[in-house]
Amino acid sequence: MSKPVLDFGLGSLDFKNKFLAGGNGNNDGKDEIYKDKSESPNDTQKDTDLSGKESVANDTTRNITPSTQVSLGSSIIEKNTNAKVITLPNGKIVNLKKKPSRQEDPESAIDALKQEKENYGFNINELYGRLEVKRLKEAPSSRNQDSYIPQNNILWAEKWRPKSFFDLLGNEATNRRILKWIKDWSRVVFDQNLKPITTEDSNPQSKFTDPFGRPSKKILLIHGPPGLGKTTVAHVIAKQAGYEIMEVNASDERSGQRVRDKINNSLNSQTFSGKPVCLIADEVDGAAEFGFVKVLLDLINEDSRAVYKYQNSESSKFKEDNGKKKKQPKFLLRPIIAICNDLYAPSLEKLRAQSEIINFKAPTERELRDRLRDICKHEKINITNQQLQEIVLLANYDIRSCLNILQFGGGLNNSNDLRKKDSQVSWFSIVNEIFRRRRDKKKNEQFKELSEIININPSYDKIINGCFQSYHDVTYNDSQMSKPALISDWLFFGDIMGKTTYEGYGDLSYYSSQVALQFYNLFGDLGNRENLKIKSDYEHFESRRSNFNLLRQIHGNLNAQLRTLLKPHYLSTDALPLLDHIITPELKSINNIKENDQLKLRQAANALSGFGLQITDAKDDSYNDIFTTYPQFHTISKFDPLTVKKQNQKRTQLFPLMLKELDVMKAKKRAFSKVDQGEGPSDGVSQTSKDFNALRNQYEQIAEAEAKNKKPKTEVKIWVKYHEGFSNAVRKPVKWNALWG
Amino acid sequence: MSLWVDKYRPHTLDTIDYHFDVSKRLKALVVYGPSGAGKKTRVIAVLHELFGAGVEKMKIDVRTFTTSTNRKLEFNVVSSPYHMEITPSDLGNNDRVVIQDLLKEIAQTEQVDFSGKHRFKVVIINEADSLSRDAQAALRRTMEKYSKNIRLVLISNTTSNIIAPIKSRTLLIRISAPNLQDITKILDKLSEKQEVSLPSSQEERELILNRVAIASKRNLRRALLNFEALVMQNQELKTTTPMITLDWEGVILKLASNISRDRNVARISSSRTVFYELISHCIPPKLILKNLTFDLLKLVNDNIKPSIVELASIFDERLSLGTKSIFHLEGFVAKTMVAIEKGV
Repeated sequence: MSKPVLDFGLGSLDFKNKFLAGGNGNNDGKDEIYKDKSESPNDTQKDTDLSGKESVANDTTRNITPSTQVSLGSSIIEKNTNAKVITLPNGKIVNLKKKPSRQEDPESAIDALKQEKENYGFNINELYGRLEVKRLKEAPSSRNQDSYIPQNNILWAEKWRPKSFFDLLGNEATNRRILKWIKDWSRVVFDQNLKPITTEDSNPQSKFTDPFGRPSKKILLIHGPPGLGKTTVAHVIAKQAGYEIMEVNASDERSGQRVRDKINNSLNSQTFSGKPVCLIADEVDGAAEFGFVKVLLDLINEDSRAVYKYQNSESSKFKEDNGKKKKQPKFLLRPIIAICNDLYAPSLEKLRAQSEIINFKAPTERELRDRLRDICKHEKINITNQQLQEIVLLANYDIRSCLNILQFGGGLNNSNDLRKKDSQVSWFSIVNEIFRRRRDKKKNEQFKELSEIININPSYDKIINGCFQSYHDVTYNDSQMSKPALISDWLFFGDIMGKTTYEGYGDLSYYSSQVALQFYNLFGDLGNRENLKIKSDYEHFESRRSNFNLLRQIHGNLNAQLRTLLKPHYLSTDALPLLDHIITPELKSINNIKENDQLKLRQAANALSGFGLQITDAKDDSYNDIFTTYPQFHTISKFDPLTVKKQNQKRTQLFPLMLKELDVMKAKKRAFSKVDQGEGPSDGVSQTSKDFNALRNQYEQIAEAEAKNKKPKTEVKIWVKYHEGFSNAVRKPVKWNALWG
Repeated sequence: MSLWVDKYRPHTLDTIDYHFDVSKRLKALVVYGPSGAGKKTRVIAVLHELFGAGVEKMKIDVRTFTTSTNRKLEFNVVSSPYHMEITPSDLGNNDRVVIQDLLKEIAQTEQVDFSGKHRFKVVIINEADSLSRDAQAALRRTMEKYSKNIRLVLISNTTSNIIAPIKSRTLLIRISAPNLQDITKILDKLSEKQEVSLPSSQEERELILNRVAIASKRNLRRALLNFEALVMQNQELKTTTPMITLDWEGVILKLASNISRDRNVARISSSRTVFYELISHCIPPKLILKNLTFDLLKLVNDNIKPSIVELASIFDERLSLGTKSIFHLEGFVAKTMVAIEKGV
């Protein structure tokens, strides 16, 4: 039922083409239906004329197609000679010219073609293109001599790409963070007489800071959904900071040695412009990117080795070494920005830990709309707010696809109903349509119509999800929730059908369109007139993923014993919520720790180290200093933000005590190993912590205890059983001396 | 070394405190039963019996595999000289590769052991019920062919997802969850060793421990964790000491009582928010359904209970078959509401 509709749409278009080209098509039924389905293209075109002042060429040539790039025929250029130049009172020069007559144009174009190719038939697309180009060329030139002509070949997404920092849309804080990061490189990149901070000329802290004042994480990893301008921002900011950009994206060969050479070359050499290079690694989250990511990681590792080596050697010596560079690990002296969509892609696992991560969020609808309106003004498109909003929603805040829709979705700007345009109906307008029972149609008529629309839309999944998200918010008649109960069966059906897409035994997802129709059956109501604001479960999805990732990280840190005991999902259901309590024991008083409490603290510290958790200091939401565990897991174990706060308070009290306890444990362990080696516990103590004396005492005790234990050990005799030959047949006892004497 | 759960884990068969009879029958197997029943512990204890203390020297290796689509996978393996523990379901649909590559690799290398006592290595496969069909098919031949070198122990919660050929090749052993007395006894033993300050009278003591056992739903692992948390949080345990409730369980309980109080569309829509919250906290949807069902059963009239259990079973199946758990959880709530409305 449905497929024919789609085919038909295309067929009629095809047909039109033939008609135009040869003029010998038979003009029956098809054309009429075409008009019914989508308003005849003629109407659309009149209103969309860019200049509006003159009727140009033939109406039917309005479609903007990629073939606009076809070169101009000579006859068209001649046309321009008819123009007349007039200077207006305000000094503007206006180019007036004759109205071209209606019939002339297509024919002349056809003639031009005929001249070239005899009458071998012509490509209708090319023909269209010529007319189109001509029309576009003429329209602006009537106003201004030097206007848009060359830019018609450019994608708007390219054309309106922001050029400077101030053009950037969206979250300014994020943008600033990127700028700050890249500015931190300036010292090492632009300072000609670069002298690394040496250990002598600054405070002892410098051992821990970067010798070149670079940011602590050497790679900037920007992630976010497609089309928000991640690449653009990286480019713009890098340019703003004075870098030459070297982009490596998925289209380039990125495996192994080749990319390594390429990157090394670009990072260490000069460009023609004399500007330093900033490497932008776009689209690093693909499955095939392990090699590439490894190259990046190698760079960082080499750098950290270099830093380590440098910091542990005299600065003067370092300079000498610099002369004979042979095996010296190299510093990373240029910024690297990596861009990805999916932060949790397996290939990025290691890179994540090494890089400054920036989450890119969509700009608000308002910002986006204002920018689009600006562009529309420049491109001379009349469009209402409502329509812009619809485009923004349709593109799901993806600014690139917004621009694509604006550029290629010709005809959109004068049809109020998206359905009238000869393109796909967006999923959310379908959802709206589903809930909106029409007064002027019979129920089954509307059902039929809906079923046609839904069937040709490929995103069943989105439609069903949209219906599911919004059916609570619509009005409908119901007795005792029977309808939500009924729809759950259909949703199950849809789920099962949708699942087949991924299983590879044949796709049945086509049938899930029925679910959407059931939503219409049950929830379609005359009362639903307003446009719904469809919620998204993306946020939940995302937080689940990040939590899941966290679980895996924690699970990975568990020691072997615990790991066999706890599966990842036990962690979230049993272990972590209870661990919260275990690591914050209730003590009688913080200041005066009794023996019993000491025991508890020790136990808690033990639990922490068993889970591989570390204690770090951090800031909470209101920027108070708190102690917390690394990795933090309250996103998994806690539901109520209040309890998180309480827990943080308690932790902040307790964790310093536990840090001490952990130090003691560490020291003990070290002491034990030293005693085992037969050395006295002498150095190493000084580093540990403040309660030096207490520790010293403990060491001595340990040493004594260990010494006592050792004595009997030395008296133990060693027995060696040695079998000669392969089988017991030739077995004979062997004396110790035979082996060692 | 750290948590009580781990510290007081029995290492040999004779120290396991309950189900004495089961332990004696362990051979080559599918071990199944509810979580926290001591499946893994029991298996390790058997290995201990077979190989001695060497089994306890476990280390974690990371292995890399290459799938047919040339993707590289990293996979953690916990192993000792005598056994190896894998969780193939970590890799989702690629678990077949692990089963094929890893098992074959182990199976085809003979154990070099001069004492000649143990010529085979034991491979423990965790979460065998979530192995894909492909992986199970790959497993069944390996099992027989290399039985000289390799013994498989599959650990799972149910046997329903394990294909028949595997079931027929193995001995199925069910380990049921310890009953409340078992748990109470174990906790009692433990509290003596740890010198936990409990009331001296036997009765009160048992009362407290019993409450812990009940709160942890016959899951021993959880009981131990819970008990430890309880001890840490209180100076001394009294019969009045409040139990520690887990946040997520509290959330579900609240939802259940809301449902039993009033039923309307707004409630359905608010329950959806709760479900989303729970799911994003990594609580498995099936567990949500289970808890919700049991909480509801406590709150509704007897005549409605059968229909709620029936609904729960239907939706549990849907959760297993489908992928969009939120649909089904909400569907369960809607249908339950209808059922309750009818019954009242």
